[in-house]
Amino acid sequence: MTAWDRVVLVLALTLLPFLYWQFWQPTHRGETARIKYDQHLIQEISLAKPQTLRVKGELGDSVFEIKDQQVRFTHSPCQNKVCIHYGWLTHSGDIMACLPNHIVVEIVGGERNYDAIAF
Amino acid sequence: MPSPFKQTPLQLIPTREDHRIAWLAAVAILIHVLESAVPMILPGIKPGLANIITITALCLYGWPTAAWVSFLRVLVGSMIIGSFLSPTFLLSLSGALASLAILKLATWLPGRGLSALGYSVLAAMAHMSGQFLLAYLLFIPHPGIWRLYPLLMTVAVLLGIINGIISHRLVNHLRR
Repeated sequence: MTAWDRVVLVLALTLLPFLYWQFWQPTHRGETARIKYDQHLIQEISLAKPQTLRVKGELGDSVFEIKDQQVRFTHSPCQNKVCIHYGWLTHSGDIMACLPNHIVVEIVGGERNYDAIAF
Repeated sequence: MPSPFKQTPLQLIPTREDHRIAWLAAVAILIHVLESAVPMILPGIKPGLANIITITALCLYGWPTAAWVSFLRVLVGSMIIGSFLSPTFLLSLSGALASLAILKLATWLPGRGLSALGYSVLAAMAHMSGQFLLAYLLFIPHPGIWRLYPLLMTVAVLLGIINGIISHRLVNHLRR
């Protein structure tokens, strides 16, 4: 092992923690919920203020709860309640939908998270 | 009247170096093909044992030989596996070119320079980075893939060290 070998090894081993620090930053919270009925934007609402809101969809009213910078479906006229079971939405870029009621919720603002990583 | 199209027979006289490159490339291709048959736990991770030959060629015969061996390995290896000009081939090529570039730079280091170990670690890291850059620019232009980068670089450094040790022993053995 030459002196330069040691330099390379030390550099490589110090680079690794830096890479983790650089690329594995925690995900960011979103700031706004964007509620759509089909393709039409119905409401864009801040997640800062806790509240309950009602949005008219295909079958009836979907009810949302906003609390602690999160949003979820609490009531839905649909049959399987998949949207309610989805739970809370927090991170920017996250999407949930009630397909029977044609309602889509997307979190925006802040720094976007990744929806999927394919390789 | 002699035909104007008459051709003189083309004669190729292989030099000692040509033979050497051919032998080394043959070994590298064999390793490359065998390795491609081994299933891997994680996508993107491969021991890269064929790079041992590249590093050994670099230490014993210099950069041009190593470059030839590496290039031939990627080209012929992909033809045997059947991935020639496919995304796999492009990733393989970009990795090889990136590691050859860094190895060229590394040969300019003053003093005793690097041994097989240092070369191998540098080459492994450059290989991974080159592939990542190409994957990002060409196949998955989404910043999400960089989340995999630290993980795969860790594996690259570890495998670079292991391959470097093997290559170092091989160089010492062949020099005797």
